[in-house]
Amino acid sequence: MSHIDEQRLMELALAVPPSDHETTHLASCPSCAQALAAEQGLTEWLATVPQPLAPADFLARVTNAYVFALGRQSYRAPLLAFGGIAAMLLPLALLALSAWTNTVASLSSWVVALRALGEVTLSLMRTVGSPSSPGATLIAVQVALLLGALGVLARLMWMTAPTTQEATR
Amino acid sequence: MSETLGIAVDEQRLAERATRGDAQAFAELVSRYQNAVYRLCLRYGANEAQDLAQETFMRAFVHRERFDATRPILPWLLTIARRLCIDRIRKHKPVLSDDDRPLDPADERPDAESALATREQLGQLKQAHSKLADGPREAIALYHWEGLSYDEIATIMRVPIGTVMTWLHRGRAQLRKALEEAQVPVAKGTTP
Ligand SMILES: [Zn+2]
Repeated sequence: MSHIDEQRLMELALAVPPSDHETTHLASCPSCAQALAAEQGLTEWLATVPQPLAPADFLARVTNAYVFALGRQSYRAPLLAFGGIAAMLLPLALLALSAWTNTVASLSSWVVALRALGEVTLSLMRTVGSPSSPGATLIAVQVALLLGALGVLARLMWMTAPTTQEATR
Repeated sequence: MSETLGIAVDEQRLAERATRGDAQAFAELVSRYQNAVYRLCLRYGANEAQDLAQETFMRAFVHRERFDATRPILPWLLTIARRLCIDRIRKHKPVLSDDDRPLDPADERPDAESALATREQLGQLKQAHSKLADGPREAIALYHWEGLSYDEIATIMRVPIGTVMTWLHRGRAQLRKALEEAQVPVAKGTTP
């Protein structure tokens, strides 16, 4: 009769019930019975090893960090939405203004507007890609707003320029 | 079985509340799993085990959408913790290894059984365990000390279940040998 292999003896020591055949074998084979007792002994020893605990202030530390992270998230989401909408509306307003005031808008004003729109989109995409950084959100929204405002300013300057030329004539 | 299911449902509810910003639910989850997470960080010889354990919980919160609510939380947390520890080890070698770390009675479980156990023998077993290779060491710790299943250990360690069994077997054989060499009796009923 062949002995029970070592891995199976370990499984038996880890509370897997032996088959009838294994029970019969263990009852008649001192070698396997001794090996099983050693496996069971090791399991008992391992159960008595004292385990370190997390430091006493750990829970408070982690909970504080969580509350802080929550605070950052709660102001970030509306800020992102508001900033994004405002920043995108500015270049769109410029386009509308351009269409309303002129029969044909100059190429440069369209380039400025489209470029600002592209920058806004890119900035917002970058910000969404780094959700753990509220600082990046602020910077992206500010850059987008600035570009939008510059676009409007450029368009207004272009609009006033021919009027000035006409006045000097 | 129904008790396990009850714990899973309770855990799922807590996780949902924590992701919605309920600090009390988050604290409850941390208090349940802080020791297991902290111990794993310690075993990886991380000098900053506490920082890494904290980062584990924060990462879990930030990446909460990746959590599969149908599965238990602890294996997921330990997967994050292990990845953080391995990354940290790659960046800086740990200053204090588990072999050097003294057994501090202040941070250990005041267990009646272990109080009776001779400190020296348990110290030998612990030291032998800390000297095992990563795989067998973690398989033993997660199975015997954190009460995880082969399947859960396989998920954390990213290996097939067969590898977990082999690691457990190999690690246990090495521990038995170390105890025998230290003349500690290792048969059933010989624990102090
Ligand atoms: Zn036999």
